[in-house]
Amino acid sequence: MIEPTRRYAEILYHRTVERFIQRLVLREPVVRNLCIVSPFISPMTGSRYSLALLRAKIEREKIPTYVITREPIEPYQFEAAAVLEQCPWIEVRYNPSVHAKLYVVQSTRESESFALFGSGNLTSKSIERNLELGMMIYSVGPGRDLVKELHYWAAVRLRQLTESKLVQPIRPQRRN
Amino acid sequence: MDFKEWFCLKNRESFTIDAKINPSDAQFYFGRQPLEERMLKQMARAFIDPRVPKMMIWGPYGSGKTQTLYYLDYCLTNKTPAQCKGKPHLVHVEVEVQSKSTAASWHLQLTEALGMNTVQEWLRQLYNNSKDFAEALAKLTPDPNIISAFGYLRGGGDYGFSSWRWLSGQKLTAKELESIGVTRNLGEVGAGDLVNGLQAIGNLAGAVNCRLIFFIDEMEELQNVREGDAAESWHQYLRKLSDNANSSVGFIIGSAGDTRDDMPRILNRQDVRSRIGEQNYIELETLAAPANVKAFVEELLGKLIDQDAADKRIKSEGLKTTVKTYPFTASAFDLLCDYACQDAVKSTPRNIIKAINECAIAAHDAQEKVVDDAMVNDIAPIIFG
Repeated sequence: MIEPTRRYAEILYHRTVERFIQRLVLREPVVRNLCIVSPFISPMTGSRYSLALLRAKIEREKIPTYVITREPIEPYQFEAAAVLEQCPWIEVRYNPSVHAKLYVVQSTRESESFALFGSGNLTSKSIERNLELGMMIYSVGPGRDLVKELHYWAAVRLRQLTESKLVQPIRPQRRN
Repeated sequence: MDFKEWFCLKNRESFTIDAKINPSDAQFYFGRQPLEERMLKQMARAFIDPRVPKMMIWGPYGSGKTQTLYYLDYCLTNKTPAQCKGKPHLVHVEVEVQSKSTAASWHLQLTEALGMNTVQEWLRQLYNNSKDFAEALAKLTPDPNIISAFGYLRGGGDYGFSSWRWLSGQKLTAKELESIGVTRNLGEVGAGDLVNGLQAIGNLAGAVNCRLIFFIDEMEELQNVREGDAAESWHQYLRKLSDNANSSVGFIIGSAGDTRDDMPRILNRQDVRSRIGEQNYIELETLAAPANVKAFVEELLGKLIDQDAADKRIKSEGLKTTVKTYPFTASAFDLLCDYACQDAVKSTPRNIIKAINECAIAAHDAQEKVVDDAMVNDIAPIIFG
């Protein structure tokens, strides 16, 4: 039986962050802006959706992307930073206090926007090994305001904090 | 066991169909028999009058425009209609358009995709086959400038190269123009001038027993043209190319649009439509109806999976499926089709193939031999919901 698909929120118990990326890749919404708030980021090499694949999509589709994470300490974090660096469409900020995990896709069609928040970092460990919980919000019905608010928090408020140190700006390029 | 072996795929690595990557995928056209027959008949008729096909294929993103273009290429190459005089010479172009692009950019992209070497080779063949080369050139075009450029192009060298640049609409200096015996740059008097050059190349192709046909994809890019004069030059170029007077350069254009009004206006103007003919505007609809979706999925699985190998595996491993729906269980197959029919806008071939592929990857990751309901329920709502 077909499961209902137009609900505005869904609790995810399994591979939460992967489900977010999967939705972004499979539905191919025309994305106006992508926000990634994750204290820890790994290259996710070997995962179904690696960081390199995500970067390739961002670059190909010219998606302005804001990444807010902690400054790398571990080798895997440096590897992830190397994947993100030099991409003209990715802004990176380091914030030592960030503990929230939030992912937002803002689409040109509002109904295609969605967000995920919960416990999962953008790492292989979070996807494959940890017990994580997440809530996906779709921009339909009451979800519209929630997605908007989450987007505002990530794209505006969090980025404006003095603590969110800019380390890689988006290099402006005109879209066709 | 790799993915290909896991699902008994026949000469391929995945369920994805992309004729640009795997040229042999051009042979596939699933679940659209009436449309296929209509297009092929229309193309065969076009070789009688106006002697080359001029068609516009349009539909929503993912409806299969690119695959349709490649399939028509496959049919023209492998089952050339008897009405086609000569060997089809097919050229694929994915048009790139900027906001200020004019028809000169289109002309350049078409001629460059065709290639200097091809035209040079045709000129050499004509030279070898004709008693009087000058007379043979005069039959191709009344324009003395084009005749002169053809002459130098055949000779090759620096002058040949300049001649090609001239024919492709690039601007030459006064000295370069003089060196190849032409009085002005091609296109200086308008887009029609450029079409004259292209038609002369089409006539040259005809003279050496070839039929020049362009497959022009991504023409929705024309929406980018914002300047009035630039848009008008595209319109003039297309209008002249569509005209009955052009019986040597065929074109099949693919353009995205949910409705016909969403197509770039240049492709849809009344004077262009009347020249191309309403019957040559082919809409690719989404599959939508359950019967269409089922036929599409069944035909796709039937062609991509080695049926004998699948049958053996089902029997030897006692898999709960049949060859007809493998690698899906019968109920997962029905479920996938149900999801695909939920929203007519999303029931496109691209989405269906993506869903099949993703479900199969999920099964392979979980080391499952068949795709069951749970996997379909995981993937399909993301794509079709």
